[in-house]
Amino acid sequence: MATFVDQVREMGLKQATIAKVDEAVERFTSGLNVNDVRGMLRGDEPRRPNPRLRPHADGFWLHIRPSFYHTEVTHIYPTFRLGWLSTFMFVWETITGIFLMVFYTPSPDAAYSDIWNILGNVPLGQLMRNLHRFGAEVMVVVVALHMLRTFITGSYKHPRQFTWFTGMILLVLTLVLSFSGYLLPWDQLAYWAVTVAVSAAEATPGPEVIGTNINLLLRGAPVIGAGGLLRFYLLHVLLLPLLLAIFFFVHYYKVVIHGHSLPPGREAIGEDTGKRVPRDERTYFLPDIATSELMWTALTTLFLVAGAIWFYNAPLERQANPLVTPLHVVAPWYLAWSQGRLKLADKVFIAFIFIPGLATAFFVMPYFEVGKSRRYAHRRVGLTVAMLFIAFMWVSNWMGSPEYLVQSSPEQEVSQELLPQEGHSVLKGVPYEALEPGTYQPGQVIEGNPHLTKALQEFQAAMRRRSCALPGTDSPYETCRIQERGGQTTYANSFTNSAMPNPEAVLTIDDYQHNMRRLVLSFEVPNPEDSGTMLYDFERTAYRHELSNYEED
Amino acid sequence: MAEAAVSNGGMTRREFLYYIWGASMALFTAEITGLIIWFALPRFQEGEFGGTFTVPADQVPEKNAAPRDFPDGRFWLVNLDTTTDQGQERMYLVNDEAEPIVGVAAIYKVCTHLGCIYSWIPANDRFECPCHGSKYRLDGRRIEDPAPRSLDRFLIAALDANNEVLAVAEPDSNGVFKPLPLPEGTVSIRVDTGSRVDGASQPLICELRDSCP
Repeated sequence: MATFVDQVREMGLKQATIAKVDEAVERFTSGLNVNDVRGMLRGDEPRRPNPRLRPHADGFWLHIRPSFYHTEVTHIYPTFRLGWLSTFMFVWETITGIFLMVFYTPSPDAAYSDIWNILGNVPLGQLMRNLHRFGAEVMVVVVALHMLRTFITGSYKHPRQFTWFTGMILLVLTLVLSFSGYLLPWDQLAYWAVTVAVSAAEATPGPEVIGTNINLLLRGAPVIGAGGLLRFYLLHVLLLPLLLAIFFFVHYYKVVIHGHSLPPGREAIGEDTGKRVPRDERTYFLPDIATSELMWTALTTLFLVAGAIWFYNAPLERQANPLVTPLHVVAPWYLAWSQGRLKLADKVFIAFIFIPGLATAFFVMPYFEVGKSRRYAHRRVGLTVAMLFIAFMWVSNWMGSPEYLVQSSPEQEVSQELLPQEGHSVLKGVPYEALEPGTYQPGQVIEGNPHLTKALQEFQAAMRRRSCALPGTDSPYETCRIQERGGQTTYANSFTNSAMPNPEAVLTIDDYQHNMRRLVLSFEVPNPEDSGTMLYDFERTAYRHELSNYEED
Repeated sequence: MAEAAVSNGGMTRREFLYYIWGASMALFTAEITGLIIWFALPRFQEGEFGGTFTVPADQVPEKNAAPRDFPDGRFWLVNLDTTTDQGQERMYLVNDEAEPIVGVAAIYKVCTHLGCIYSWIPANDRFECPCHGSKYRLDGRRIEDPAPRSLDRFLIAALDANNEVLAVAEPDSNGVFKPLPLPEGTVSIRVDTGSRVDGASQPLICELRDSCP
């Protein structure tokens, strides 16, 4: 073969350089020369034989991607791009996660302050954390919707049963991955969510030694500490992403092998034509699918960045304290259903029969649900069951909220709404300047102070839900229903069976120190049955520093 | 007749050796798995976070008063007495309890359900767990679900001024330490947090009193 010098002699420097560049482009793209690339950008028809297929045959990056799709599956329906989006989110989480790893040490001594450092000191650190946490929640949503879509269009049916099976593995891995990241900030939210989840292992049926040892393996010690944090960190950044990547490729290989399933109405019942694509219904990967994926990459990035900047703020509570479980601790929303179910029944049943049973049913569903038709009209039972299941999960999720069965006494609940031990509230969000010293009634209107007025309206609303008026008194609340239960007198209103009769509650704000104000909620409820004693007598105190934008205890 | 799906021709020596080899590799993998689990098990001393705590008698709460929190030892000290009228509000007997409950007990601070730290809610006169809503009476007996058993207790002993043991809590028929009535001359109480005993699974109090939510 002629050397570059020979070519220069033959064609001149300019032509020889162009030829060299052309050759380099063809090597780099595994088969497309400059004219082929420009032809794609111009929207020309490919020459024959089509060089745009060569990167799929010869190149590494595209060898797993199909060279063409059925045009019917390139529209937003039926896939909604959810599988692609799941993959995108995994890559997104990997990249943002690596950024966070640079500034994070998995040790109880350092982890929490590292997060504060990321939030307050590292350039773009808060954005990066928000992107990662927001991305994790979006990924859970996208993966769940992907499954729901696959169920609704009947795409799990023959021959794609195993694709569904591997998809279930990916769903479980996504949930565990998301949850394992929960512990890493080492705040109260993290610590208690993980403690509860890991303790469920202790309920393993069979000899006690099994449950105890599973628990020890996960916690790294009898209680979660340095060992447990390191274990969850390694799971989160190493083992689980690796497993997810492996099963992603198994899953995607099956997707490619069987082709995307067409919309149910597009093929005869019992037939699968996803892989037999007539020439005139092909949409080639290069350039059309690739362009569409670039556009989706841009749009999703825009959505995630805008969300993380303006609409989503990753929470950070106080540092993990193994000695205090905050009131109203909740599981992440995508696991709230399990917290709800755990309130109801025996934990052995929930953790080892109900949840694994549910998962197994999902895994093997395509092997048992063998109806031939994918059409919606023929799958009324299946689709109805799916909708009922969604409703069931919705109710279970609500049961996971503090509303259900973990209501404390009314004065604690009102305090919790206004000055929660962890998390945000309207009163906590009132600016320091607006916290004028004084004593305030629920619902009081402060002229020229909309922030405090709004917080006092919240105070009034909270009091209304948990207070009642004794008959014959002029308390502003709804009249009590007085009940005798279990030898005790209870006072009920239409919201709760445990209301405060004729309460006196005030919010007092005073200057506690220079630059620091004290907020005290005090409740006094005389016992109607025994004058001179108090049914409820309680104060909650919180402090607020001028320079802090968060509450200090 | 259709051909059999799997040929049942005799096993050759080569095939047999492959099976033997495969079986030995499966065994080896199982051994490695066991070793990995053994390797990954944490090393710690039994009762590492516990130990023995000595509490002066004046820190023991009054009879039937609110419990006292000992965060370092992860226990509450309670002083129970169902024999007086004055204490009925906090400490009461339910139908299936014949004997009066009298004495001091050290109760483990961790909920028996899934390991959260419950707290004492004075307005409701009971311990309440913030995670899944288990409720307990002052002596640790379950009032409401989903806790599978009553709160765990530690062994306590009453000591005199010379640190001589005057009395030790006795286990009841379930093996749980009974409350210890403090003898005359008790100066301090020793709580051994290395000797935790699981609470018993008695019926829920709310069922006996018909007050379940």
